[in-house]
Amino acid sequence: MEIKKIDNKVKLNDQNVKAERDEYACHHDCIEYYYSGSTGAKGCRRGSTITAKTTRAW
Amino acid sequence: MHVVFWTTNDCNLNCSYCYNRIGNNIKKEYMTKEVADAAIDMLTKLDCWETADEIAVQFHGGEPLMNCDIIEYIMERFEALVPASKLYYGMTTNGTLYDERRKKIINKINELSLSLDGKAEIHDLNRKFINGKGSFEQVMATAKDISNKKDVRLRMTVTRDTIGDLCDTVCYFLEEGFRRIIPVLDMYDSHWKDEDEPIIFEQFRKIKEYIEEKEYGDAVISYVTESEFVRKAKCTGGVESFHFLPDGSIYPCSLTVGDSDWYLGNVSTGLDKAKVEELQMINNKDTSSCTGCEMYHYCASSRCKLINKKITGDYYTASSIACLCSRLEYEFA
Repeated sequence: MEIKKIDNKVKLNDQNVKAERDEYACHHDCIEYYYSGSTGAKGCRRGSTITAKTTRAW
Repeated sequence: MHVVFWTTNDCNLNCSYCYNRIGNNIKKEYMTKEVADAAIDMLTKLDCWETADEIAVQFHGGEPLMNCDIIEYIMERFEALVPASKLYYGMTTNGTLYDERRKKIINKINELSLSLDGKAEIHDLNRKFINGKGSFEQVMATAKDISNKKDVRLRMTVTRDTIGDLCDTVCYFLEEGFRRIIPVLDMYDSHWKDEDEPIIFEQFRKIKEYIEEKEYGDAVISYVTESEFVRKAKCTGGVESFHFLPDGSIYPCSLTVGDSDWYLGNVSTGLDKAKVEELQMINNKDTSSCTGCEMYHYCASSRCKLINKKITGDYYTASSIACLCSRLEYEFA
């Protein structure tokens, strides 16, 4: 199977791009696509107020 | 803080795709109270113990419910140390051990993940008891009983052999009343081929159509019901995330458990800080195979170089199946 890069940004905008809350708070099991803690129990942190503009994760 | 206790390496199943199969001669160790105490003592001395917004404690294995003594003990210790508002429990279980004592433990778990690959003919292909008998009947009965009381996450391993039935399987679970269904493409299956890609996309598209047609707005299904992209933060392994094995050894994540390259120390001797720094340094470099991709910062292969190494043999060459998963997310956003 090949790596296929996506080369348009149509779907990546400030309305649908969120960030994990801070540098180390993701609680995310990368291989399992699994969140633990409150993210797992109550839903993804995507519901928080942090957006592409305000996050300090990047 | 994310802490995972591998309560035992032992398991009452002998699944054909599991690293922990009988034939692999993995030691069937059980975690002792002494090891759990040493792990907790180590955690409480870390800076992030004080600053963490929450402590997520996960039980894993083997089959974690084969060591109820240690689960109950660890819960007791954490409940004495951490306010209930900051403490979350998680567990991944095969769903075959379900008596009154285990029901009490499960009741306290906030996020329960149950391994169920599909209908009997699919599930029993791989997930068998040691005597060769399939485990579907028992797991389904457990899943149904738990789902009457609390939310349960059905975690499906999808291989090249079962991808053609994915939509049927997910629809079956939906009709059985389950709403959190997480198909995960088996990343370690080296048999995936280019010609599988259209089949994978087609299966997920059919699931999406089915959910819309039936108006299952409360369903949560990997890729299909996601609508936003999450820009990946840094790897937490060895910084805020710790996996403790029954013998007290420490690893950064489930992917690396048992891999001597990523052994981060032992509960009795403490964390190998140089190894943690090495892990961070590797993960902070770019995945060169993917430079220029618009999904770069939203893909598992950009954060986790260890996935790349495990699957492609190189830290900075992405896994094609991880790439496909990101493209699935993109399609359904």
